[in-house]
Amino acid sequence: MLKKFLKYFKGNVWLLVVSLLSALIYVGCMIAIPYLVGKSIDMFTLYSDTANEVYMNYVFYIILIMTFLIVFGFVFDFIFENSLGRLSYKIAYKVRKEVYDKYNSVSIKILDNMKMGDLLQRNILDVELLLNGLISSISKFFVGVITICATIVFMFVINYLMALVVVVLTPLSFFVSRFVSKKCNKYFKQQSKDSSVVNSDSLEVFSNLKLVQSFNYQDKAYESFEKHNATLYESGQKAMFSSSWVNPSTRLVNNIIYCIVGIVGIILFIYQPNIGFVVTIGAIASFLSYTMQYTKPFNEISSVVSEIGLAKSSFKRITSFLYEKDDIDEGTIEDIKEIETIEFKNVCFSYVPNKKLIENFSVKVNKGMKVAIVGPTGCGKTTMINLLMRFYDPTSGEILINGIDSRKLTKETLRNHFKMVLQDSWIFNGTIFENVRYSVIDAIKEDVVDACKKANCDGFINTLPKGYDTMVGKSFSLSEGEKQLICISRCMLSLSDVVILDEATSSVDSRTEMKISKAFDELIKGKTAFVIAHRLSTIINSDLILVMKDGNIIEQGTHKELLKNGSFYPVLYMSQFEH
Amino acid sequence: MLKKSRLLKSDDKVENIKVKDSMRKYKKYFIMGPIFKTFEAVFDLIIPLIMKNILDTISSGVLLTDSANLKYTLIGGLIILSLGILGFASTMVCQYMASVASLGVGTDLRNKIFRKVSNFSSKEFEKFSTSYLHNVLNADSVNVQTGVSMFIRLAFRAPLLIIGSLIISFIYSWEIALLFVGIIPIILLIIFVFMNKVAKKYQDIQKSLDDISTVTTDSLNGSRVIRAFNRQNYETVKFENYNNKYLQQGRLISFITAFINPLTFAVVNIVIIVIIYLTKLDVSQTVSVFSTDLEVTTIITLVNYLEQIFQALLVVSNLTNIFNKAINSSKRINEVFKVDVSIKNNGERLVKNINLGDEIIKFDHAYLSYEDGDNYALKDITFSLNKGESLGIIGGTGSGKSSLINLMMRYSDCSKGSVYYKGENIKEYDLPSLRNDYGLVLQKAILFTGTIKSNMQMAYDSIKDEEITKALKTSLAYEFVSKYDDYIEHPVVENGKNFSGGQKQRLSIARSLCKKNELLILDDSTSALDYLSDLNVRKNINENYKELTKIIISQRVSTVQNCDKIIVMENGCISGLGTHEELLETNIIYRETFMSQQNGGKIDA
Repeated sequence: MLKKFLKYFKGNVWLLVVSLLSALIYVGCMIAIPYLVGKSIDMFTLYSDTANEVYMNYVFYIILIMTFLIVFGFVFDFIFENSLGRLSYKIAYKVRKEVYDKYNSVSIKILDNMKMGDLLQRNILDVELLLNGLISSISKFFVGVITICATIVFMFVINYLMALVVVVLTPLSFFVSRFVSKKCNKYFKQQSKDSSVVNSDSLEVFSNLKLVQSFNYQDKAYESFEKHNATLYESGQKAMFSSSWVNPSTRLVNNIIYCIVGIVGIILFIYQPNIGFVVTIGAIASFLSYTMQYTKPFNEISSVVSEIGLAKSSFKRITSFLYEKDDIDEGTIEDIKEIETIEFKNVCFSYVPNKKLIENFSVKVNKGMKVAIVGPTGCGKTTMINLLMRFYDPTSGEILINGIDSRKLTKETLRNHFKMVLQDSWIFNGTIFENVRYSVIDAIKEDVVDACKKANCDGFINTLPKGYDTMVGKSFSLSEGEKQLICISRCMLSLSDVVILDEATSSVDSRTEMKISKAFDELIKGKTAFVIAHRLSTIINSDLILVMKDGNIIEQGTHKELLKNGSFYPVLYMSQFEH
Repeated sequence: MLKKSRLLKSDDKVENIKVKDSMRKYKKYFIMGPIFKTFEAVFDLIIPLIMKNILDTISSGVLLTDSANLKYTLIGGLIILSLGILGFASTMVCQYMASVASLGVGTDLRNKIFRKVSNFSSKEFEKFSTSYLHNVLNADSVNVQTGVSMFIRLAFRAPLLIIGSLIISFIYSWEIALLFVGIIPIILLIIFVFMNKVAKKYQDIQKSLDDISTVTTDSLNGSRVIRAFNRQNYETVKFENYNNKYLQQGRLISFITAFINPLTFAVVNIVIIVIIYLTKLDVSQTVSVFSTDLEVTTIITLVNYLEQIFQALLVVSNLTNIFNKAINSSKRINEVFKVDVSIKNNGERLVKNINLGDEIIKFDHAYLSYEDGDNYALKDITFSLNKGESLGIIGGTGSGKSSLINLMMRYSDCSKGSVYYKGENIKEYDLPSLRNDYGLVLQKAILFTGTIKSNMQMAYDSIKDEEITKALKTSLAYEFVSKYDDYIEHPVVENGKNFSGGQKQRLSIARSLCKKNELLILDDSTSALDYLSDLNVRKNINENYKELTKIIISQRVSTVQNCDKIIVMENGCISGLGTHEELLETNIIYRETFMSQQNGGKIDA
């Protein structure tokens, strides 16, 4: 995992080196200053009576050195933090780019099997956590560790006995902060669990208020909400209380160490003639200032441990996605002529290995034919689209395009010959113009308007506040019918031989529905078409009807043939004449 | 820690309440908490003084023997230790009180918001959005909660430390104390200028992150279309723009934040240098800089107080952010509290029973406007319906179909005219009983988390399993429910995600049938069913629940054409009222809709 992570430092190693070196220099300056303050105080105590000029000059030099240290400390602290920030954001940038590209190259199967929120999280929250972890692990962890080391070194330089006292007491502060943060984590986890329950409670009721009120369910809903809320109170109160231990207990430990070090120092001072050991008031003073700040890095280290943990697991999630299988594209043929025939030959397919869906399906479709796919809701009609467009490949058997196995074509070539309008109309955040032009990136305005006219949506677009430049998506949402019309225009704009349509079942009002029907008819005029059909006219007039049930194609033929010979199709067809 | 929960129960009252009321309950915590905290702050201020006293006494040689010195030192040390522990104990009492009071306030607010909002009528709900109210309940309550906790814990401690440190400094040396007073504004300036800048930049970068999230969502939703058009490279370039913007903003933030630490480091240490320099002058020259003779140890002590001041200032700056947030949030909460729910139950216990064939609903020139003004969603609606009859309502989007339901079930009251229910003015009828008489099935089928049974029990806990089975059979949900090993104990996860759209619709129809209601409203609620199932469900309802008054709303003529009465809605008005045959002759819109659906009609096959 570390190796995978180090990869992202490539090209930015110098930033890392600069920031780490600067941190070293900065910490050195920061730690040296109390030492010098102690030195100068000793000068005052020793020579305050004599006002000896030599020693006063000595103090002057100390002041001079301190000034330099401050300047150095200032500069290098700045360099350190700035370069660390830059480095972290650069890495976040790189990771995001990779994840985003992966979205478009990974096999569709992976995307279908993962939850949307989960996928999104890997590129948003996980990268943020990684970024935080990166910044704090270096700025707090690294700096904390070297601060502690440097402090200990300086303490030993001043007085090894007192330094020993501090080192012996060190585990105390470490133990306390670890203990507290562990306790906190436990309760915080519980709290976030409980609060998500409260969250979904309120979402469920608030977004379905009418329904709730129609059942006079408010009181019962409140009862259960109140119960969950009380649970949240318990864990929240514990979490808040346990987290509020951090500062006071740090201060307590601080005070204890401060007291012990002071007392030990003074005792040494009292008995120094007896033990032949020189302790100065200045030394005690420096010591006390060190101990005042000594526990701070411990706290910071233990507080970032969980952050680093989070970053680590986020990075794991990111890489596990990055190492998912890519879409296989073994095809080499890049040039095919207009599609004359599409043939399914003994095609078998299943999404899950043990659950067969399509078995031994064969059919040949010639240029210009209209193929309708019908069947009850949820019978797997979209599987046909998945196979034709090669979002999935058949388990066995082959799909022949002009007699060539479609797997031998590159996906780009294959897909260039198809157009597709799905039931879930995909409109991205952008202008209407950009949305329509998506199929032909360099299309000019006239062509776009032309396509929209053909698709019957020029009219409503012109009624929008900014016409074709209206931003759609988050900021301005279109009705389902309008979305579908724009998707049709998108396909209208590009030229291709084969059209795949998924007619909408969602209820749009009848006027829009008629517009959509007309646009569909216009789109498939003279093309080979596969239509997942809901409309009578499409079905009756098609050259071939595939009847699907439970994922299988159970009957095929023309309308007339099926009415005569079929068993399921006539039931399906006749049901519309009853009321 | 005490086992007993200190959570106080929320009042049922949700009229005329404010955020303040929730806090008032925990008044004693608000007073006692800071008092306990004060002890620790005072001790923290005293401890360095005691240490200084020991150092001074020992180094001055007042005490003649080593053992006297030792005794003095040890006693001093003991006092410091016990003050430290005492301070810790009293501060933990404060922390405990803070956690109880803050969570208590938060919990109380959440309860009240939930209660308040769940009784909102359509009019109030239109004013806010679901996500807004959801945020008020979940995010704003937490902000207030945090504000309360920080108020009890820190609002007195930090200023106390600053003022105390300054007073002590003044006692020792007013020159140095003045230096401290002078430095406070500088540090505050650094903190506020930079922190404000950074906070603003963080808002910007948050926006960029939202953009990144939007683009990512787009691209995940459109994965098939992107591939179909071979637009992978285009997507990469598009994303690059947003990602790059984020990177640039991140760099800027790093640049600005990188100033804060070094600057404060420099300022604090420069003050230390100045003190040493002044002391040097004082010691080395005959001219005295300081008014009083400074002990060397005083310098150390004062430097320590400088550190204290500095830390407390940082706390203050954090506090202002937290309080700002809390104040804004409590304003938003108060806004929700302030709402006066327009639909009130005026007719407690006015409940009637009527016979089959009696008039159940009557609209008498009813108008409905959601805003105050002449913009009517419904205009001059007059019709009546008898118990046991069926009513079809047909019309395009925005024609006023759902507003009709709003009036029937009193989600809204009419602005002009009146609506009668069982012969009584609907406003005078007992509201819970009124809604109890209706079964409402919406187009978007919603199931509540729990089990199938708990959903069926939403109206009556005591409903018998046979009745549930009857309802499930009627709505054809029995087909799949009977296949579960746990039958109606089968779990329903959030949003009913473990069921398909068609299954959810069938279950929600069954749920309404379990209500033992008198009227059933099917609002486009069979749209996810195939034609055959749609037909069978309607047939079953007619056979199994004969006394039910049915109101069927649809865009399809075929769904409503067998109703006793059909209303054609257009732009908020009734454009036609009659039977299928009558409307075919008299109403152009109805005829056109019928014809268009006959030709290109869906069979949903």
